[in-house]
Amino acid sequence: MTRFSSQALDELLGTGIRQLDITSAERSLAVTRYGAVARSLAAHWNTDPHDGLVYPQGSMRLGTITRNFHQNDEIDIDLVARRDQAKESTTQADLKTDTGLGLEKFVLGEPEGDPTLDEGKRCWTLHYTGFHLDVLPALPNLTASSDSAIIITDKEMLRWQFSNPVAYADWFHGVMAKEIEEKLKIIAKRTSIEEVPDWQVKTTLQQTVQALKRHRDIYFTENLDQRPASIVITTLAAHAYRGGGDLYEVLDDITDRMPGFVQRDGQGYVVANPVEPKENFVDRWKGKPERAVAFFRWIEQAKADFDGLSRAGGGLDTVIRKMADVLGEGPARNASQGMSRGIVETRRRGQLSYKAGTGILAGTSVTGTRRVTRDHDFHGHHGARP
Amino acid sequence: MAPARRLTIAQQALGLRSVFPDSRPVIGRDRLCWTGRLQPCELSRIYTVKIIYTVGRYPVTRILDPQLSATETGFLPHTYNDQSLCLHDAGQWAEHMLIVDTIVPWTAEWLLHYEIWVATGEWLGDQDPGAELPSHYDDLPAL
Repeated sequence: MTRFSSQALDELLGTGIRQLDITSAERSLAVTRYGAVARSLAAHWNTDPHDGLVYPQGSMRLGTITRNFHQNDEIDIDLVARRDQAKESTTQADLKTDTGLGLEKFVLGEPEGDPTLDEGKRCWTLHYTGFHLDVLPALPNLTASSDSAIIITDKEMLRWQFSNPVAYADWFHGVMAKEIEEKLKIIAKRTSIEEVPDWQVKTTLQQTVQALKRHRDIYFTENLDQRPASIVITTLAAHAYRGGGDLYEVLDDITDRMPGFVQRDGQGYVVANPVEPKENFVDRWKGKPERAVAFFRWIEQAKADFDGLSRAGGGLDTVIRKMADVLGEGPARNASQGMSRGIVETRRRGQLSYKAGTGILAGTSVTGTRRVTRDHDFHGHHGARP
Repeated sequence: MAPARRLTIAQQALGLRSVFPDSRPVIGRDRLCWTGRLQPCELSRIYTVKIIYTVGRYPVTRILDPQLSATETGFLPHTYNDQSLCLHDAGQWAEHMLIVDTIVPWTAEWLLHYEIWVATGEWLGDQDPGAELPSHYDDLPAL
């Protein structure tokens, strides 16, 4: 079977992956909700709520949110709650407890959305319908040169860990700056809106990360604790990314090159934090060789599965079924609806055409295409022909 | 404005030949039979399609190959009892329209929605998939 890439496959994949993402309605709701959390914590700590007190980190900041396959498509939103305090005046456990106390007050105040509060190892979780906010207590890192550097507690509440999710996100956005700029220009032109927010743009790198995260979640269904961390996937994908292009080509290229960016030092594997080189994102592989093995096996399988989409060859239905296996039913359904609706709406606007000699449907009349001159409806089932 | 004139069988055949030069319409006095190959998108199969048009009737479209896959109970959406495709509502096609600009692309579109139906079990081509079918379907008037 010959392998091919096509506009149809890119479209199908893009619409499929979009189902994994947060919608703009969900985004604005989440922003409203964590704004309320910020105000409440500010009152609790007697500080200014606008001073970068609560801000998103992780996939929410990176634009790579991927609905939780194992929790009814729920969305995890990671937040930093940065208390303006020197580390000498508190302890890891106190910071955690005190943040919890502030959040408990917030929940008892019966805020909009009626959240419940749960304690995790390092963070507190506020559960809302359809999404939850993971609030990570942090302090500013006053000794670092970067303003956004923070310190957070480790899982045992013993040591301060250095972190800088803002700088990481800036690095990630920097890697794909060219593609973002190009896509922003296209949107601005189409909508004649001057200031398009960055999050309205989805790059092929972000889409690839989303596809890989979902594939990982399905692949590791039976042993979720073996899953490679999202930060590992995101970092390796960003290293492997060589600029924009057709979605499928980029996905294929990144998946192919990613494993090559896992480095080795004398002691084991290293995926360094690009903004904090001393931090190794695969520290938890140390002494657990099966984790590294699982990662390399998974990425090989992902590569084979995504390859399979373009080798399907048995009709659109085969590609859609394969997409359901690889990314889940939600994306497959969204992709199907997107394709059908795209054709119907184009036809209703009178812009449908098709390629002479083959019948391949197209949205615009270009050389070698034939315009569909009439609108119509597919009416009826199983009657007698008149 | 004068009513649109009926196109002749020769005009219809010429239209089909101009877009599908490899196909050979078979022409009778008041009958046209065209067999051609259609692929609605690059990911789709290539289907062999037969359109028979008899003057005074709606064109009849069938898929010759590959065989369409109906459900276990024999159900295929938007088809007539004789397995020909239901491509339009009453009055949406008339004899002054070129088959190559209407029936042919409507068939390509039918095939696209059909493949999606095979994958998802839903016909997403138009209407609310769960909507009641219009009652006028069974009594399409003859032209």
